Amino acid sequence: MSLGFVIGESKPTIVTAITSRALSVGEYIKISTDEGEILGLVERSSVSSAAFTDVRNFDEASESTEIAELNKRDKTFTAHIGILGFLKNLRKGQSIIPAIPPIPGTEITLPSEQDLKEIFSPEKEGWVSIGNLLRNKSIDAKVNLDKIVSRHLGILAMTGMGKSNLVSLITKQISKLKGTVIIFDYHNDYTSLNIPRINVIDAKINPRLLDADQLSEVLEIRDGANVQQRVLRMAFTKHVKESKEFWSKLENEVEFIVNSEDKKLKEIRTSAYRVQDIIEDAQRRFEDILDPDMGDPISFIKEGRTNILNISELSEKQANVAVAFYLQQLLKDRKDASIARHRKTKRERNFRFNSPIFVIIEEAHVFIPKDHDTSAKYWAAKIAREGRKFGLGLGVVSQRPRSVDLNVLSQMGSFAIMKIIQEDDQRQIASATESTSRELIAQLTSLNVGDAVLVGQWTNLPSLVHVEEVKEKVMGADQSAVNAWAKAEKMNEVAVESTQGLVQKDLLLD
Amino acid sequence: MLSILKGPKFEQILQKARDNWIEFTPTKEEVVTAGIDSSFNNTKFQGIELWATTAVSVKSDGEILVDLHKSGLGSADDISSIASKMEIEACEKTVDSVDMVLMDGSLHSQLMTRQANLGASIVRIMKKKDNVIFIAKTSNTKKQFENLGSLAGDIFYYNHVTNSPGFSKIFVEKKYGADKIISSTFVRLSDSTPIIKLEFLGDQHDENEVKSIMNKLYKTSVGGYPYALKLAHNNCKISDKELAKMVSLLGLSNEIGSREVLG
Repeated sequence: MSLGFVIGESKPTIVTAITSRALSVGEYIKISTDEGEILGLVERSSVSSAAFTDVRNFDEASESTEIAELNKRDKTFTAHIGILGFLKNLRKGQSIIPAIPPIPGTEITLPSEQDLKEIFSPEKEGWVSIGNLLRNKSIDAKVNLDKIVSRHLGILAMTGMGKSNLVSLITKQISKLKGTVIIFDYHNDYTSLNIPRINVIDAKINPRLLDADQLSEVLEIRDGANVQQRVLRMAFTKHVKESKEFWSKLENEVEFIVNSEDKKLKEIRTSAYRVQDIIEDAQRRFEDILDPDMGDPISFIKEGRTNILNISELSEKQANVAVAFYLQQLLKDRKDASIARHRKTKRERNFRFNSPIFVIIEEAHVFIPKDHDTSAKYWAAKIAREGRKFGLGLGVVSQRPRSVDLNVLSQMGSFAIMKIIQEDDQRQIASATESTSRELIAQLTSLNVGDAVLVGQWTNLPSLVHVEEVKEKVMGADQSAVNAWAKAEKMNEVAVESTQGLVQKDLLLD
Repeated sequence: MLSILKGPKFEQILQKARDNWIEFTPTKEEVVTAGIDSSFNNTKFQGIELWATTAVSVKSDGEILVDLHKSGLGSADDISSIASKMEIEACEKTVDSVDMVLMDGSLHSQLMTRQANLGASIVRIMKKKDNVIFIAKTSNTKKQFENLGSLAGDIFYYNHVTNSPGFSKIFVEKKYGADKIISSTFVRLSDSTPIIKLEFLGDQHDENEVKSIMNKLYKTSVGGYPYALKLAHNNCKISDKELAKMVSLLGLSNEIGSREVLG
């Protein structure tokens, strides 16, 4: 059935069509040309009414409403359609843009369900469903997991739009395949994820494994306190690192500086006192986090499982150090494993992970910031560049894309972009995703919760999808303040009753 | 200069306009109307002119009843007359198929000034069913208050003294001959909308007929103006762009000597 006709100036990548009804953004259409059938995606849709063009006030609007109903020619439905390629090639996953633009006057029609299934729901290994096409609900939207591990993934959306649901869904799908996922869980969102093969780890830091700068960050020595940092560098000797009594040895070294009669050391005595206090304070405050006696932190991560690294107890700086440490170790291990396999070395296998790993960094704007360097950013960037070769995939999740380092973001081969209102964020996305058209980005403001634009290598084509809700995800939803207050009130009442009951009246003084 | 807006003479004219005005709020009455309009355009092209004229008759529901086009190369002196002829042709083809035919513009101007030679055919078509009305958005005629020394057009004074729906007493002009009597009235279809001028042929029109016509017009009007006429206007515009297309269609754009090469 004819849906409309190509009009105006037509280009190989975009055409305008006048249609018999309003088309939805995200709807797929088919254009039959002499070269073959072409698939297009509606990127912008508009309706205009001749009766309402010069309306200046309420009364005229009201009169025009009646008039518009009478006139079947009153409405003009216009659709801007991005050309995705020849249908024949898209079925094989190749996007071939026609050399000759569709001639104005060419008819457009709806693609068949089979056409869409072959493209968006390929029955191939590695493709898993994450929901359905937003405008064609009967079509499963499948993504290629191989591509996200080899070419990375960015998940960008405002808060509450379904980022952690999508992370959970991808994790669940990888878990079904017995793959290894590591999530740096900054808000304790995933520890209660109720899927099989889950391994929750409270991220701790072994101070012995850090360098002096990292230790300074972990102990929360101020950024500008150069002398204090110098004291720590001097005190954090190899001997301290290897000592059984880590903290007391470290304190001894600082003590030595404090008591030293050396002229040079005397000058930094005041700072050394301060460092002493900081170390003492840190041992008390970060008792659960800084553990010099813990084994290799990487050994807690289990292959073939979903590993949730709970970093919610860590301060921002500590989390940064921890993330950097894990990323560094994981890259090293995967490198070793890949090289060993490649060379078929007979050396002792001293690596932990034999299969690819997918690492997800939540709140990426904190760890991979745009405006300053962090150690986590350094290692994330390195993985973004090199991880492909060693089977280490990176998932970057953020609600503030504008604050995420563009170098890292632009290395992401695939993206799921959900509702984004801020123009700065949209601009950053446009810069990071060359293939995403401005029209599609402009639609990001109108998406609902769970709706996402998928672009990049993990799909055959840019697509608008509704992501399936993960029932196994317990946390992460908005909290109801009203319910919580009601419960708190009830508890207060219980508390009053129970304490009143406990007080013996005769013991009360008048 | 301000005597147009102030002074005893001005007040006298306003009072007369007030006296002439009959308040009437129309109610919607079902009717099939068609609006007719024409347009023309021309472009100079290597010493000659390419001209195009069009006339259209369209119903309020968007159905186009008549769509006429003419174009040619040559002197464009008489294209307005060609357009007027086509308008009359469109009217002739429409009068039998609708209840009311709305012509854009002024009958007075059609009969007496612009295209006096077409007068006979206009009269013939208007008399056929007596269902043709001329409607003008703007009017410059200074007939009704000229004996009071009016400086502005009649419509100016009615606009000044009224704001509500209604119409002015019918003004009959007989000086063009017995078969070319024009009855006119200024009408406002709804509150605070611009006044339009209705013109009928003959002198047999009364206030009840005006009321009935207002009811019929009101049904399909936007902002006090009949939608069929707006549709007709929109459908018969010939833009410069369209003329450029015609030049291209006629294969003239690549003629040697085209001035574009100088650009």
